[in-house]
Amino acid sequence: MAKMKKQIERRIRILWVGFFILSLLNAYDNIGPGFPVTDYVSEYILEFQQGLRAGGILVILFVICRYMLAMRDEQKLKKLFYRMTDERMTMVRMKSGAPIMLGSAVALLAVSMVAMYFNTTVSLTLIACAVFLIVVAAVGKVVWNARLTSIEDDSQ
Amino acid sequence: MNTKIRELRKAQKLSQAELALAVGTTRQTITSIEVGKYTASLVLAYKIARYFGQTIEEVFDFSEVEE
Repeated sequence: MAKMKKQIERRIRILWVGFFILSLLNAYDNIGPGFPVTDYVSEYILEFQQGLRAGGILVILFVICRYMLAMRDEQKLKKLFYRMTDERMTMVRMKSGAPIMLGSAVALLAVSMVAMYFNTTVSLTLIACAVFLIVVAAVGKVVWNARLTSIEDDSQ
Repeated sequence: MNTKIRELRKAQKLSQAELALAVGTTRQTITSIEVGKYTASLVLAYKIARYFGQTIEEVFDFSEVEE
């Protein structure tokens, strides 16, 4: 369990770094002088990126809160650890192909950020593909979870 | 695959969540193994059998497995 604690502490530190970077960028854009609108960088691009950063901040905060709550309670930490390493959940993830799909979605989003500076249509298409992949991964997880789980619950 | 987990658990008045915590898995996985929707890995099967002080063959029914 000590190893798990260390792993979660490291994850929290990495998440805090991500949180501060995204917050600084958004603060610079909102409170500070902000990123300038040029021939290549339209207002739409800046607003979209700002929204994406805001979304990232919210997700990071949610995960940090989840980890910090688990760190306070040994029982919750154990449950979190078992949930993360559970063999059935691992199989669900593998069968649904979620890791590769989510990885591809992140890569597509990153490429779309660059494509935004050249062609808006291409960038929007890439974003749509990324969203589609995320939805397919989520549906796959739900389907495989249902196949490998019984609704029968006998707690005693 | 049929198992004796439910019977053994009930004999010891143990909930699925308690057993899951004891063997290092989730309650949902124990439920799935009990109803035969999921076949436990060798490691998990060993942990469950050891928890009840029995062998894997005594807890898990391998009669349906083709030779």
